[in-house]
Amino acid sequence: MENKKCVSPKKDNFFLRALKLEGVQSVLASIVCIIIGLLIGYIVLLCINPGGAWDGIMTIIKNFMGFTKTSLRLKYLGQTLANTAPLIMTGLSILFAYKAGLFNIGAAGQYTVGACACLYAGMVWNLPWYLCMICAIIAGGIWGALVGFFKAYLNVNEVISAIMLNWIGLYLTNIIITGSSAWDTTKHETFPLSNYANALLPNLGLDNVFGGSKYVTIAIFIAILFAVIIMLVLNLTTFGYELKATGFNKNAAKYCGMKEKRNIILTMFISGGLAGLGASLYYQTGIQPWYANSTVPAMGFTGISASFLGGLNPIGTIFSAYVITHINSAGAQLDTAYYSAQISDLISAIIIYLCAFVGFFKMYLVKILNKDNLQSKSFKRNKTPSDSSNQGGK
Amino acid sequence: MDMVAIIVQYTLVFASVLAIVALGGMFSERSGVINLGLEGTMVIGALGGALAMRYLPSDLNGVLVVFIVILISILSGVVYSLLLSLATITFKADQTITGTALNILAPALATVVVKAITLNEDGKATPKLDYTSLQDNFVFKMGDVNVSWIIPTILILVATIILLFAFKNKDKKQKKVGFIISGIIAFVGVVLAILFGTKVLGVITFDWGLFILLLGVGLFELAKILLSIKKKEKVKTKSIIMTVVFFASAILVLVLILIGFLSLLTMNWFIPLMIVLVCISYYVIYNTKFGLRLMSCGENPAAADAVGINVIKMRYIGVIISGCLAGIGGIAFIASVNSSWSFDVGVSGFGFLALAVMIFGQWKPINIMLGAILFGFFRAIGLTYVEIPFLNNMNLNSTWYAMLPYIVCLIVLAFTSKKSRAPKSEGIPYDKSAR
Repeated sequence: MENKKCVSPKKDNFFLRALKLEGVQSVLASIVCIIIGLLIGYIVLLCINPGGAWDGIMTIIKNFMGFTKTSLRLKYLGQTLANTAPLIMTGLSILFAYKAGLFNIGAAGQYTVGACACLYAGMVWNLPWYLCMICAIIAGGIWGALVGFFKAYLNVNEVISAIMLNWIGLYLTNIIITGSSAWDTTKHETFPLSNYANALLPNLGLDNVFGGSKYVTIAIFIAILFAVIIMLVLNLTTFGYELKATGFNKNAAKYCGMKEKRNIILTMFISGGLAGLGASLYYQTGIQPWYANSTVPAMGFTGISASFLGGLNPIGTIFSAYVITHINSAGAQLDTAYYSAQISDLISAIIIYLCAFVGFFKMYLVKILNKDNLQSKSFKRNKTPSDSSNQGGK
Repeated sequence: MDMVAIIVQYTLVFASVLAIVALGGMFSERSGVINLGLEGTMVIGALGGALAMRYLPSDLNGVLVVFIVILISILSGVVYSLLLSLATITFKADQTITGTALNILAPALATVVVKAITLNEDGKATPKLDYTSLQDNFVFKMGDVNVSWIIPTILILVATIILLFAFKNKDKKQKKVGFIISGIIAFVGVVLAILFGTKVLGVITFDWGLFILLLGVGLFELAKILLSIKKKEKVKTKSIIMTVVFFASAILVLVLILIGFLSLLTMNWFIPLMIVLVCISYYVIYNTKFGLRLMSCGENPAAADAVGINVIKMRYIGVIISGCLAGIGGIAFIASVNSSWSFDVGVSGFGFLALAVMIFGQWKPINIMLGAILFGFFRAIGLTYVEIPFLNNMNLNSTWYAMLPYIVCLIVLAFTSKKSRAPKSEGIPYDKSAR
């Protein structure tokens, strides 16, 4: 065993060495997912209307880059960034819970409740934006903690209880918002948030940078900040370590003296809080009023794709959230004479489905790399294959 | 009376959808695969069925329409669920994520397809698909449907079965008796068919048919008990319960017919289908080789594999059955009440409710049906509270009632999950090398 260290493996070139890194594999897998998703989207476009398919897929890929004017491009880039910030948050919410072995499909409901809290705080209580934000975090957190409580003490499957809470949260939000003074009964939506300047997120002059886009605010920076914080918490703190340990093996964690029930509830509180913050980062830009929806906002579900496409890495989530928003917002620019805007939803849904294969893809890659490695080694050192096969295991 | 009739009607409609889909979930989870994609599969099944209804000629025979539409829904459900089985069984992907992906994919896919169709045909893209002309075929009034053909059919079927058994029997005397009995039953069946066909005996409507059916099954169970008493065997408690249940429900149906309640009800074909499917599932799961093998794959796949059961194949079959049933559930959801459906809203969480019903029913067919009726009832209350004076007087926001089934579901789960016993290996991909 000792001489294993002495035998230096074959000097790989830079490309091969890079391929062996876990992070590079994840990025590669995500890119493959995106490319295959776009390809399938192209085929769907071909099926619907062969004539405009190429233009259609290029519109989706280019999005705002298709505009000729720089200011217009910047404006729509700002718009996309404003949509990316909440998606990063819901993605982080799902990622954080997933690291602790919980699948938080309730991010959508926590997001809804967060929206309710920040709108109510801003428009009925006239609170300043940072307090609205805290309200959203707490509301989302409580909604998440409920799921955790049901899981920890009553053994309810977190997926089912979260889905039920999604619907309850949606209906509750509709009741509270439509019954409050924020509801515009003539338009069937809340009054525009710009009437309540206190509650709007500050933009620090960013609207001038982004070609006069009204909705660019500090939201995107807050989201990125939280991504970094989450990464630090998960990787550098005892709490993060306990969470991951609970995720790997609940019983082992309990055996080691970790309070697994408290951890579950706390994890879900933080996860819910992140989703609630996402809602605040979306609705407090004034980009959209609240409508009395009959379905749970899709942002929470799209967050699932953001976190998995990002390889379950907080920093990866930032980029994947951008890519997904880029594709989704491009749907609106498709030529409606041929295609519906939902094509871009379809493409992002296909990408999520393909994310399920990422594990297999990585395994396959490792297999190929190791095989390559083994062959070259046994050739060079003239060793028996059984000796070198030690390197091939997991 | 009208009020009760409406509530019962809606309860049964929703219960049928929930029970059928929950049975699908049961088959999949019993084989060891968590099918979170039920919601999406329902959407695709509904899309297939709705498209079939749109394109079938409107002068087609009603029974044929129902049959073809359900068949196409099943096919679309199966094809869609293959996406799940491919990812989770063959490629060992995470079942929760794949299911969720399928749930997100389905409404997007359905909307794109429907919009492409409406754009092509009407020149204006909407996510709403209209299938008014054929939807009536799914709905019927209990007192209007002629089921006279059913008694002769059953008699002839029974005669055939007895004949088959008689052929196999080696004892010559018993063989002879078997031939004679089957001959008599077949003769009675043919005579009845002729009498009904020439309208000598009048018409048996669905409600009376139901009464006769329940009475017949009750008598059959009673005969079994009498036989075992005569043979001096111990009488099973189960068959006594069955006898009592069937006779009681027969009497209930009779009373309901006599007070004219059943003729008020508007039913759809998915309600009898639900009952049939529950009975078949019960039989298949507990009494056939296939069902027991399926369950063993969900409990301990390694042991199942060791005794020569093909776990991969069993799991594929489990997911395919769940795709079938979810497809039926999808078309049941949109066709039993509505004559057009807007596909961008999916099936409003019914797939998930069905999963909750399945957990509430502890992965057992009969319990699932009872759970489905409970949830269906609360859903029905949510829709029809205006008709109920007591609830209407409370002047609550209608949204509270819409919330009701979800709250009840959560509370019920909170009380039942503590001792809930899911199939032991569900959610874990089967890895032969880890055995």
